[in-house]
Amino acid sequence: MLRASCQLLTQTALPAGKSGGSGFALEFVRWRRKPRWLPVAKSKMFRVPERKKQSEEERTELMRLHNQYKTQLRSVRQFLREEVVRHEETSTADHIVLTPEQEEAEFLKCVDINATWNAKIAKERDQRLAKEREDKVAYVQERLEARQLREEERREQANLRVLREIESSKTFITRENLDAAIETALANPVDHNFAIDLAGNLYRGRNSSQVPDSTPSSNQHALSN
Amino acid sequence: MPFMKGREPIRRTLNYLNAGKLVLKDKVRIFSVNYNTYGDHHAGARDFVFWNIPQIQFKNPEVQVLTLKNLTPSPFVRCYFEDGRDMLIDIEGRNKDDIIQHLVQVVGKTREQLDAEARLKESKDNPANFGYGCGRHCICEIPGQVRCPGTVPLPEQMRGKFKFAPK
Repeated sequence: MLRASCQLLTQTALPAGKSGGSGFALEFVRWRRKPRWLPVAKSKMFRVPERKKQSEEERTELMRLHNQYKTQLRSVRQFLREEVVRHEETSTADHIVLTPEQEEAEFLKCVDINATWNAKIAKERDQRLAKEREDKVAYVQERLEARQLREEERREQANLRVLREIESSKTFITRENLDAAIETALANPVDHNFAIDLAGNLYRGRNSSQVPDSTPSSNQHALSN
Repeated sequence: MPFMKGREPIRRTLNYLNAGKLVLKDKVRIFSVNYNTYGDHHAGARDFVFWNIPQIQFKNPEVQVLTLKNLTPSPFVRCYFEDGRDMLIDIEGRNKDDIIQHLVQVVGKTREQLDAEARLKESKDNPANFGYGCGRHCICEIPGQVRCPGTVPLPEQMRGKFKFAPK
């Protein structure tokens, strides 16, 4: 409740201010003014205050501020009005509690929305399933081809093996040529009792008839090795 | 369950549970989700079950929430209503946000409805409320509270006129 100008505040004492001297900037509005209910003083009764002159610039500026203020306040007022309406709409029970018909209509609307959603997904699923089926078919085809290839290869190997067996079966000992084979075996005894040195020389055993042409000392030496 | 143990314990926090968007309509009695634990087109359903089912159950304590695993070729949500009807919602190949958005649209309460219910509940239930649309117009109607300064002047020790008056 004080109106003070700061340069004079320090040098002004409170009681002095209360006296309301015009020389002081510190002035109590509340405690020294005349009460509101007293009439205009007789000496001021017919005084017409002079209107303040406004320059054009000042006037336009004030007008601008005024317009701005009015616009802002109008928008706030409108917002509050709408808020009240909104509140009115939503704060009563009959807004939430729907009639059975309304409820049914709402349910059907939701069902419709859901049906479109489901249809869209079903379409995507069909596409996906078709693609998966194609992939599967391709995969099976690939596997079948690979299997055929494998089978062919196996057959070829078996054929080769059969041919090889047929080829080697020509030297088999059968019941017919058994005697001849025995004769041949007896006629050509094979002695496996021999040694081989690092150089690859063959040293036959003592019982063998085909002693290689080597000295007994070297033979001994080879055996000792 | 101890705090911050297990997989994504944020799912058990009150803030997370309260943040659930899906409040089912009153007619919904059972909410079931069918999904598989494998498969790309079930990924969204799995996420949905993992992240949103706790919220849904928390927000709808009256509704039976079921999850059925590995019984279906494609994931779906099925809502059973109190009048015996049901609604089948395909959720194949959708992520959890899409799913929850669609569910809110189809089987959830609207935002206006939720607001209205919350306000009604609040103003009706809480006797401490006063003001517009409440049981009492002003707190001054309670015995022992300060009178409205518009009708009865405030006590002198509260008034600037007396507080700042020169002695």
